[in-house]
Amino acid sequence: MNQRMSTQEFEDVYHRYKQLLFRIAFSYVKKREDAEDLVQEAFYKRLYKAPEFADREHEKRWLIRVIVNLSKNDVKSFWHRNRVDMEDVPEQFWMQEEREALLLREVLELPDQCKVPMYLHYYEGYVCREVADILGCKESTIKMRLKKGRELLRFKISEGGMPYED
Amino acid sequence: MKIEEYKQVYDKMVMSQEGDERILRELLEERDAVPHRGRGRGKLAVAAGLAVAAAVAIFFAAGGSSLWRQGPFGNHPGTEMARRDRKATQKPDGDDGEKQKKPEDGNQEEERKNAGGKEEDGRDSGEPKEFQAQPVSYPSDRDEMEDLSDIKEGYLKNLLPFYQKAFQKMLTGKKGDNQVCSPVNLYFTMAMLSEMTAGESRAQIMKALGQTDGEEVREQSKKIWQWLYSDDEYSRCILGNSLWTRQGDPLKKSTLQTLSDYYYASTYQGEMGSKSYDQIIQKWLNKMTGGNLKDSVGKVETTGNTSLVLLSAADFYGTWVNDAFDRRNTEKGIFHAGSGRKVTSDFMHHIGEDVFYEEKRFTATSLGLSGGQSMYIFLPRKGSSLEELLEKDINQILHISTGAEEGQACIMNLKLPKFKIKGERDLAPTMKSMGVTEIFDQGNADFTGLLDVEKENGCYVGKASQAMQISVDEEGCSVSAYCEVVGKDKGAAVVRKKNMNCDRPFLVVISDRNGMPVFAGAVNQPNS
Repeated sequence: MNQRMSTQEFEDVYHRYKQLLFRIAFSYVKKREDAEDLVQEAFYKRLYKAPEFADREHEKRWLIRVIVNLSKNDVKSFWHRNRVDMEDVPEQFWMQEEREALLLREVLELPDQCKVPMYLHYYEGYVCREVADILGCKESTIKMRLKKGRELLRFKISEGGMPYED
Repeated sequence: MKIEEYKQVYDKMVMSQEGDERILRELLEERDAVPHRGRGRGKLAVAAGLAVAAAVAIFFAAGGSSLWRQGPFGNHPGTEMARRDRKATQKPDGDDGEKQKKPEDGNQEEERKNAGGKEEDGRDSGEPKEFQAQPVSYPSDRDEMEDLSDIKEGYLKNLLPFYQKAFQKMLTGKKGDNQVCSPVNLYFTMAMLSEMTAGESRAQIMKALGQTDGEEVREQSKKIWQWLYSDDEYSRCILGNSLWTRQGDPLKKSTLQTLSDYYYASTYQGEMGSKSYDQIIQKWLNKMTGGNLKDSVGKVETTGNTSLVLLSAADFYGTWVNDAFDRRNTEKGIFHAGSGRKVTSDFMHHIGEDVFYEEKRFTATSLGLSGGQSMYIFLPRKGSSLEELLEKDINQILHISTGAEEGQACIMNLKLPKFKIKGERDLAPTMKSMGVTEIFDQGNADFTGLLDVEKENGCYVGKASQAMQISVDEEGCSVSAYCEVVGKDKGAAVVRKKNMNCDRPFLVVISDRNGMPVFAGAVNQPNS
């Protein structure tokens, strides 16, 4: 347990990163309750297993890697494989608009390897090299996965043309 | 889909208010109550429980004695490995049905200790007594990435010179023959040998490994094993190590423990030269190599004067990212084999956005595998040869294979023959060329790191070999490999189009997701 972390400090960390971690977890497990459990697990590790962090960015990257690993483990588990039903996702979520539900579905149906690089790059604003460092991949691998993700989205929700470049 | 819409999807992806409040409340309550109690919340705890139950059932089914350290997650790296290990070491005449019926009582580890190496049913009918003298405790928590974060730098820094020698020695041979090389197995074999030897024998091995500190070799090996491990629907990379010793030989327990703790190597004892011991060794090896090297494995036999057999095996499989090759585009073509013959072969066809490397004597590209690994293809320019590349360009080949070279983004038009190449190789010349000579010398070999006897009464290496198969088709790439050492008594953006037609001998290197070269092959003809 990290004894030096006060309740206030922990609450600050929690509120700072909870949505970030939730979105990554949800991208994998596609169920809000499961994603929330994984977020809890990640913050548990932050409390008890975290190394010393050089700065806030270091902490953020560490948490991202933790939630990615937790999510991958969960998706592979017997428990998950036998209970998640993709068909239920749009109804369970809180997007009522048909197009919003469609977009969400298409994003969630991207291959796991594309979703998190896409999210970190396009939403969190990390450049490819940083995404590669966070996920422990080569930069070229990340570029390939971003291309794959873009292609898939383009083909699924065809509006013509390449939507955006690296 | 516009990027703004993409962001809007994520903007609306928020936690429920009740979930948000519950998580923080529970974490703080738990921290204030019992700081170090075990995990046990909600569905995660249930998931872990299911996985534990399944693994224990397999434990009894196999009748083996591998330890399985329970971790917080069901899919920890050791699960599949432990299952394979136990299955592979089932006795040929084992009574699996009975063992499966044994109830889970939580005392398996105690049972293992009590077994003391004797067969579980206590038989002593003159049959060889094959049993596990030192089991392996596989890692329980994959989520130790902070401990693995330095591996790439450390691994590559230390191992590139080792790789350079291994590639040059193992990928060249008789002109026209396919060559294969599993440097990762050779590394593990030599690292384990460093634990089993002493004196000059050990010093030579350490020098060949580029290391001076034994503790560093151990830590590095452990991290490499963990880092390479993957086993899911997209990819599989499992390393398996084992040491087979002779019943009654005095072994240093501390060394066996080190082999188990850092190299995930089980140790067995049995009657050398007996058919049943050979069968168990072969069965373990077949299991660890997916049954792809049965011909070579069948030759792994012990004799009365075999003191020990050290094995390091690997089983790898990865599917192509982006369905790189469409089966409908595969067509017959002519491959100009290294022997000078023209061979008809099935050529796969891939057009896509890839990275291209252009050098004086070769062009190269890489294809992504779904587990994050890559297969690099090095095609000598016309007028150059594979031998020339390995001799003059090995540093650049390794540089590219580690992902350190940026390359050019292009639209790649790649024609690659489907191939399945197999090879066996005597490792002694390779190891000797790396300066490891003493362990082959009957007079000087010092195995007192493992054997609790005088140096003169120990053993020497009578045989060191490697067998390996690489198979590439439209689905993906698979590799099976093992190294055997037998001890004897002494006694990006699209800019342009590029063509790569691999219709002549080429080199492949398979690197893991962090750019560590793991396997390599020189394809002189697509089928061997």
